[in-house]
Amino acid sequence: MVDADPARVPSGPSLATVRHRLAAAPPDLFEPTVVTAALVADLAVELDGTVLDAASLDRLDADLDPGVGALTVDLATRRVLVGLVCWLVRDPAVRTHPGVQAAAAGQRTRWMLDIVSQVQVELAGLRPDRDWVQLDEARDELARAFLRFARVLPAGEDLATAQDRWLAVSTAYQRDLVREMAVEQARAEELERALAAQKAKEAAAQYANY
Amino acid sequence: MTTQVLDDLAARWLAVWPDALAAWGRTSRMHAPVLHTEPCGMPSWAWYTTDDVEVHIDLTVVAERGIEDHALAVLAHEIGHHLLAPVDRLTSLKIAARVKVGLVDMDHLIGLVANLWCDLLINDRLQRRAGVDRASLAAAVGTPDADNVLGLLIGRTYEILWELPRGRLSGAGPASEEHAHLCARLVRAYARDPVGGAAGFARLLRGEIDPEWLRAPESTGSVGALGCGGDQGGAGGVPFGLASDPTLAAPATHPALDARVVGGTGGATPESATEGAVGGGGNGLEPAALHALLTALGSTTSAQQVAAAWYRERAAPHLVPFPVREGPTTSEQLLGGLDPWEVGDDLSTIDWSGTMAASPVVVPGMTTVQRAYLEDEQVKSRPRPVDLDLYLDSSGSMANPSVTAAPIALAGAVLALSALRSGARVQATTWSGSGQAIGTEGFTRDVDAVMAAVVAYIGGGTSFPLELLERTHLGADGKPPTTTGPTHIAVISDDGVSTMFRPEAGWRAGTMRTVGSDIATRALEAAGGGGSLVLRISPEGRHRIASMAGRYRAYAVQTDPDLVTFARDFSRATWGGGDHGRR
Repeated sequence: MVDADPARVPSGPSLATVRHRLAAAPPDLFEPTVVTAALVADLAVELDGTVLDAASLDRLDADLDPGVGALTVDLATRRVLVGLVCWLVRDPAVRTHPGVQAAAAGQRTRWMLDIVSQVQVELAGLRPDRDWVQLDEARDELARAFLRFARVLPAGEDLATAQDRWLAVSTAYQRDLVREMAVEQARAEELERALAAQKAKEAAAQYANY
Repeated sequence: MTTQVLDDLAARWLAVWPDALAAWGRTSRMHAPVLHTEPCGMPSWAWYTTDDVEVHIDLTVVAERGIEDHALAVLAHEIGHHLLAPVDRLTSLKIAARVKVGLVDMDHLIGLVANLWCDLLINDRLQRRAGVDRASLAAAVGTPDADNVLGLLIGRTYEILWELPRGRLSGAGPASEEHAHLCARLVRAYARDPVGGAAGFARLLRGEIDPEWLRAPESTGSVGALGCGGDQGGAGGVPFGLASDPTLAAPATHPALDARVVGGTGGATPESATEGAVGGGGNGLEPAALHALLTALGSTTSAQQVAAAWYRERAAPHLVPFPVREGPTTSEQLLGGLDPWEVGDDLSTIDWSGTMAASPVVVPGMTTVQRAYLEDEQVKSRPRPVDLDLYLDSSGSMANPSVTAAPIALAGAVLALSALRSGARVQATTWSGSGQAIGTEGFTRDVDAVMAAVVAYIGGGTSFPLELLERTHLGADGKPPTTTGPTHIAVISDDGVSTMFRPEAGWRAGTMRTVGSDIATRALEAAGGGGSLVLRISPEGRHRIASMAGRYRAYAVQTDPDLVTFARDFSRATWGGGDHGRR
């Protein structure tokens, strides 16, 4: 949906469908022993019979499965997000939806890989891993992010509404917004304090002159 | 609108009341709303009173605004004022106090902003959790005008909270998107803590909206029409718990700097973020601030009444425990057991029931019994507590207790209220220059009269009211003393207490005469309950005063908190029970 022509963004599955699928995510997805790159590769085969070439598989391995001992917190979080995206794409109610098929435009693997990479960029590190399936607002955020990067609208929503609702749940947007306002507010309060101190000084000086 | 139509409407709305209660849980209880079918002149169609715990609906306005079909949303909302925010008069005033801090200099908006804040919490809870369609009611009422910046912000906040299409509640006017998002986060962060988030909400509005617009009377009117009438209760009185809350005057934290609001943004908490709800100790409301708050909310309570309530509450933790009276003592005879009746005893004392029970064959002196009686303990005379004759220095060197927290008034309140609690009577006098004294004019057990004297302020010169002391304990002008028993004379002052012992000119019956230090000494002897001078003075100064004070005990306290501590300890020793101080 990002940078898409508003007039041509198709309507996809309902938000409730995606949220429900997330709530039913298997706990195995959070295990560090899961080979996430293999999940992606298998899903590609399942979607349209694409077998990823060796170079792509190497890149996936290097990115998501660098081996035991190299598992950082950031990487673990990204692996969970990728696993959850694969879980969502595998949902028949999602991948067979006419809107999704239209958005994929015959290149389902490419479409899926785009979602995988964009979700990582947008959501990695924002919440504890299990929150994505356990907390209402986190499920909402991941579900909307998924549909957004899948280039479809939640069923029953127009582009403007979907955009507004996405901003309302987007932690990254809220973070940037709050940062800006916090800096602005801190500056304003600093100025207030300085003015108050200046006024107090002037009052004291005036009092001393009497 | 005919009466019949309004009566039908009232019946329909009354039928919805159980559902409105159920929206807040199965155990919610509240008596039926008052449905007015005559115009009430209120600015809204519904309001709630904390004093009566009652919901009022003006059905004429309901019909006029075309919201007849939104009974559940309206009624459940008003119940929310009872169950979520503000709940009671105390919480209502706490919210208002925090709003006042956040608004800085917009006291006229306190009521409106406090109500908007409570409405946000209630409506969001109803819409999101109880399935009550508040959004349709808001849409039916109409969107705010394009120049109503506050209404636009609130409308846009609701849209974000409830995922409504942009413009449904905020109309076509421009609303600050960033502030609406922040406001929505604030509502969710403080969903169960109306007091904690009130200052941040007010701060957000105060910083975002043009002050000139906020000051314009027509602005508030246009916003007030958007919501319910809120809490319309509590015209007077200061609920207990307000003056001693140490957080109400804490600085307001902008939501963007409030860790509780921004903490969920993925570690983006700014370094300066603080917890908005925590004010820390020592940030309680001063008497003047409390009075200003009540005045802004339309209360007619005077500054002195507020101050009296303030000191009474602050003194409460320091008071002596309630006295324990000995149990009732009567001289009635108590039934004992059965003793043998012997020949020679009074025949009438035979207990025939006991005798026949012992043996059906009566053998005098052998089987006869008589009832024994035990004597109860003698009635004990209840010790009479020592009365208190209290003199508080209110010269120019002292703070006005109605404006700022004055330790001398607090110490006086501790002493006087402790004495009253123990059953003693109190004469409280606030004094300053010659002829300047405000007091109870005699001993009383009237707490309000005593507290009015304690919080009085004169701020003039310094001249102890020796004539009053003389009149109280020695009698004057041919009249007997006004004391009726042992009395303790307590004076709380500073250096100015020396005027109690220094010969000084005074006026009496139009002729000037000199009254001397012997009045204080003779009054002490006549009082029979001892005398204390509690002085905010250096140890050296205490020696100087002690040398002229005779049998008065002079105590020096170094700091203001010490003064209150001394008053507490002294009260416990004098009126706290046991035989201390009792005569």
